[in-house]
Amino acid sequence: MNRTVRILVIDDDVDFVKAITKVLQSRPYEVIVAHDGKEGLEKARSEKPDLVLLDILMPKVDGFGVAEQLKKDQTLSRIPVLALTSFSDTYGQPFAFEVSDFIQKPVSPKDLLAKVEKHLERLG
Amino acid sequence: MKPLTSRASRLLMLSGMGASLGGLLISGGAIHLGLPVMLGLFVGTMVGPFTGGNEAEWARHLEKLLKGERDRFMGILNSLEEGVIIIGPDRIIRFMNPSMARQFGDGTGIRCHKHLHGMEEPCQGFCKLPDVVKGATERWERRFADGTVYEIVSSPFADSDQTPCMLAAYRNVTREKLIELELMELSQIKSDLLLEKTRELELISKDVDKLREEKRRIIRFLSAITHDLRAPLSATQSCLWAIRDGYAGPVNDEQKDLLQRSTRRIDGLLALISDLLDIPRMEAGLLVQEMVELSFNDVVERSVDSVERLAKEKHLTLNVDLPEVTPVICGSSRRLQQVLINLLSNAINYTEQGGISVRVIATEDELRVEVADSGVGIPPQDLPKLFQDFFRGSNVKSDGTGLGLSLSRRIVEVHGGRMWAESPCPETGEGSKFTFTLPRKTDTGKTVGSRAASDAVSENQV
Repeated sequence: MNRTVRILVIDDDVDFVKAITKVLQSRPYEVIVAHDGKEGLEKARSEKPDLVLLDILMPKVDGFGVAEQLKKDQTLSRIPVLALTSFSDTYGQPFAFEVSDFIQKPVSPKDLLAKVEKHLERLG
Repeated sequence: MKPLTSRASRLLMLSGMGASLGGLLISGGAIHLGLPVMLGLFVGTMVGPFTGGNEAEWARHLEKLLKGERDRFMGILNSLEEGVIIIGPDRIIRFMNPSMARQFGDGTGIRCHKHLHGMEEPCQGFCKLPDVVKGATERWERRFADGTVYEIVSSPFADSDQTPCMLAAYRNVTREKLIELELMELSQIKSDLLLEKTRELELISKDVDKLREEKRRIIRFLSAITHDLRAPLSATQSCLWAIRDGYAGPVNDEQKDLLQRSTRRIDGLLALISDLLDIPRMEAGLLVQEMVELSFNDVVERSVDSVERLAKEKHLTLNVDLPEVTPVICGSSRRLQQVLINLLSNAINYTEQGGISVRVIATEDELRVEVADSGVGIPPQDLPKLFQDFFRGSNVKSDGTGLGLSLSRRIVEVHGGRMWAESPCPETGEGSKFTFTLPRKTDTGKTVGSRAASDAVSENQV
């Protein structure tokens, strides 16, 4: 990979964002932060990130809305979107929207980095 | 209106007869015909033709004829059920037939208002006499003080002395009126009842709307409270993990130990919040929305997978005995796994030697799921309290929330099944055995399944 990987984190919880930024910055990743769905969509369009970490429950546009908009936009639809969910999805409950993967909150650093790497590798 | 038609025809007959009596024919208006014409009409029919003779014989014959006619008409009047009355222009009753006299008392020679209505003055407002003597026919109803109702047809009538009088036929219609009234009352009662039921239905549907709104309110409330309770813990935990794992600089063993203790407590708190909030969610019937048709063997296998590591760590065996053909039931895969994982991790927690066995027995009506262990077992005094909220066993040290079993039983019950515990396990004579059943009927599964789709999002957000 020639250039720095850019990861867009869309989450309204600044403390949580700080925690995962610390973890992500242990790798050669540039972290872009957006604090609500609307700002997230704007930054996705202007910054063209390599991967999006997306919170589900957010003010203005929620995670479902952001994921839907990203899928609709041809220039953004191929960006992997990893949903940050604070409810348990370990029981195989299907979700009503399309994302590449799920990362459960609270986020374990190991799990976060493993999933991010996996989806970045897929992009080549 | 059938009765009216027959009534009308009978009254017409009556007026015809009354008229014939006085040697006149009255029909509707007033057509007067002379006596000879009338007699001529009846000659042939009554006593046979006169076949010659002198004047005295002719007179006798006429007299016989007249008497015959009179007797005949009197007979008719006497046997009439209707009352017939003739009232003069001075309002004095000139004639009453026996039926009229029976019903009102004989009042011949007395003024009609006095005799019939007990009033000194002529009936104000509804006396028909002035109009009738001038030639009008009136058909009307009158209610008497005692409640009797008469249908009266009053026609003009020239008495034998040619005085313009009023001939009235009285028919007692009290019974018919009562029936009519009863019918009206009945139909009123019917429409009242209908109205009442409609109102009741409206109230019920309002209640249903209220309940639905209440349910939506509970979902929103739980959704908000879950998020607000979990989010700070989630952020804290994520920060602590990041520190613990060295992403904010090197951590020594002592710091690591303290961080480990903190994160474990937060894990416990997060689990408690989930379990606590599961109870009202279960009670609000939200679980039903998750139910779909599912293959039960998959549920068991996934649950076993997630506890396998725990069993291996304690060197416990984990036996799984499933039906060859997977039973299909209607339920929530997520929640049933929650039940199985809870029973399996309890079994692993309370067992130091031997192992755990899971067995699924499928009968025609239900599934029977047994989780047995070779552990410490449950003291007899604890068995009845096992499924109570926040109950913790007296012989074990547990860091669980104390809600696992009570939630599991609730989940099974929402699925229409039962759950119970035995200790020692009847088959092995050691440890304990937890059993739950699930009904196999999937006929309601379709409707439940389709409802699940529309509410899936709201449940996911809780």
